[in-house]
Amino acid sequence: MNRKAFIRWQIKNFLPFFAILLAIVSSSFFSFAFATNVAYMPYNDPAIAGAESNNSGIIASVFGLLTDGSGLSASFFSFAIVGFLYATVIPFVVYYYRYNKKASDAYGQFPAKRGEIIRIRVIIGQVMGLIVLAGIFLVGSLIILLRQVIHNVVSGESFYFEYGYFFLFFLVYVITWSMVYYFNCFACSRAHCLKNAVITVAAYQVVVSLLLIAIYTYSASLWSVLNRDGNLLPDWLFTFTPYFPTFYFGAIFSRLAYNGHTGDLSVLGSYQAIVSLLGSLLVTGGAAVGVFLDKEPSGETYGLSKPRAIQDKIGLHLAGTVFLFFIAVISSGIGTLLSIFLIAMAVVMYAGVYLLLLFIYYKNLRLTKTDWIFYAANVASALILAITMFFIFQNAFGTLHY
Amino acid sequence: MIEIRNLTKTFGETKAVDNLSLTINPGIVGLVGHNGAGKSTLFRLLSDVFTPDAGEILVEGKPHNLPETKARVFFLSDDPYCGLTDNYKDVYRFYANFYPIDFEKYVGLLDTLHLPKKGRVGNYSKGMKRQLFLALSLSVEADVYLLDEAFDGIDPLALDLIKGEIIKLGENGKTVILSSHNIASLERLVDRFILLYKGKLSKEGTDEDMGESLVKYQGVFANEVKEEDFTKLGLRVASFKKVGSIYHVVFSLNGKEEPNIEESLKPILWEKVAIDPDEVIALQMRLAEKEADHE
Repeated sequence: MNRKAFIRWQIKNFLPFFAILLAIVSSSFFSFAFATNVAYMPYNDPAIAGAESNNSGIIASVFGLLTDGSGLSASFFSFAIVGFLYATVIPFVVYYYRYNKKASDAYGQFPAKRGEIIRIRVIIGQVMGLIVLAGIFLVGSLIILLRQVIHNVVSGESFYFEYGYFFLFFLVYVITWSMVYYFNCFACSRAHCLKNAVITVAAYQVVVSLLLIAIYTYSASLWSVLNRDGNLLPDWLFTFTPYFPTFYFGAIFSRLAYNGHTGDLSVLGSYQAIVSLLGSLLVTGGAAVGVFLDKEPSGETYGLSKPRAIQDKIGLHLAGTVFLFFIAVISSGIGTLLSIFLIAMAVVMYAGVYLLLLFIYYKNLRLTKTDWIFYAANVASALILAITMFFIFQNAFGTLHY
Repeated sequence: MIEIRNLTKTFGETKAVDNLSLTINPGIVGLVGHNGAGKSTLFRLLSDVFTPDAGEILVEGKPHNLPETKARVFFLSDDPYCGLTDNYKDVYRFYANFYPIDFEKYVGLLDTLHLPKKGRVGNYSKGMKRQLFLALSLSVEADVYLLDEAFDGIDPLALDLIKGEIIKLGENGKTVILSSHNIASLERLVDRFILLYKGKLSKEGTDEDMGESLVKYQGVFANEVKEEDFTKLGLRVASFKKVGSIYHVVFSLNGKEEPNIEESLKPILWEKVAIDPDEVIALQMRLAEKEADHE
């Protein structure tokens, strides 16, 4: 393979798609850049405004940090959100040749290592995405700077944002965005047709989020038992997504950029925020490694709405398992018959989710011996977990209440 | 030379290629068979698009899936790929990333075929697109060319030109394997035929080999006769047709003697006639189907 020529061809091939995304993302971010309040307003001072959100939970605090203040944080927030559009859509374009029979015939016969082509495409997708995002961020930042200069000249004020934090934010953004991008690439690599890919990416997002919540709930419950603290449930579950780190760092840096005021950022150092952050980084980082270790499947699976053999069976079970564990963990803290009902419901839900995914993927509801083994093992371990938790709570608190 | 040993490929419960063993020498080979006989699957196995469930393929003694072996094998699928906005040069650039391609020959062939050089290839008609990809394939410097549904939708003039190029490749010691639904388009072009039926090798050989065991008779009978009347006599009927009052019957002898029906069926007229070469492959395909049904 003529690698250089292929890279050139591939970049040219991706250009029209990136031009469309550029238009969408830039229009969104620039509108926020134009709307940013560049004047210093004391009531927007995070030292004052941030204090109000201290006790309102992590998500309210993070989003509060992003949206109160001067509007600068709203620009960062919008940039993070539209960046996710990129991180979610590009992997579909990168992996599209696997979903198309015609393209897979061509790519499959080429005298190159199967994994090499996809790795080149993944990296080009990432680099092109980041170049476009960097361009947009640079222009957006210049718009804010220019507006601030003009405002200061006209009004005679001398308030300037700490622009160094803009670039620190972007550096962290590059890393967190890339991790989300690789996470979605990994999900796309599990699928063999476009419809299947959409479902897989969505399922991975949900599964990972729920899995993180289940881990958090379990660990937080144990933590609270050990510390004799009755506050067991996370205050807002949606912090547990692969996208959380970008918001987390967006909140920190947008506040720091606001004239160096840190306000009260202690909420970002809370147990929940750290678990969510580390969990998201771990999962997305693992997916990034998975993309590079992934062995290209044989061409006959291309274009078919079937996942790959055993590892995707595990993936399907994972989706069901997460529901099971999540409900089992929660129900274990309820010292009534309701907990038995909840666990029974979780077992049925698990089966239901698995059968639904099985039907979407394979167009049938046939359960193999492996399926039954997975199912029985997962139900058994969830029950053991729930019973253990139940007795721990009973011993610690007697009767528990959420 | 391509050696295929005990090759098997299964999709679900369907054996697309079933324990196939073959040796293909340089020259022009026609791969024929019914829809679903396994022709396209065999092409995809040979070009390493598909991975076999069992068996092996050797190209010049080396495994077919090594990058250096794949670089010498070019596969043109029945519906070739190009980018949405690609023009003829982009198509060349894309494939040239992976194969050595003689650009001058490619452009020369496009000129000879009077193909337009402006506009997207995606906007070409089916036949024009096919011609462009054939021009590209024939300009690739490979040892083995796999052309699936090679002449689909091509006009007779272009077909003649392309056949000329394929013959040149054959003369230069290259291996060209063609499949086509239009068997007549392969006649007087290929050196050998390979007939597949349900993923298995049904028959292989030259034009003459394929027609060797077949004999055709035409006759007139006083009473109505049916195909069963011949099979009851122990004859293998490849084809049985009645046009007006004349019966056209083709038998597969396979070492047996010529059919003697004079006494049993008492024809008014019964004479042996020559088989049209265009008919031979179709007859062999029909025979393969009948034998499979019989089994």
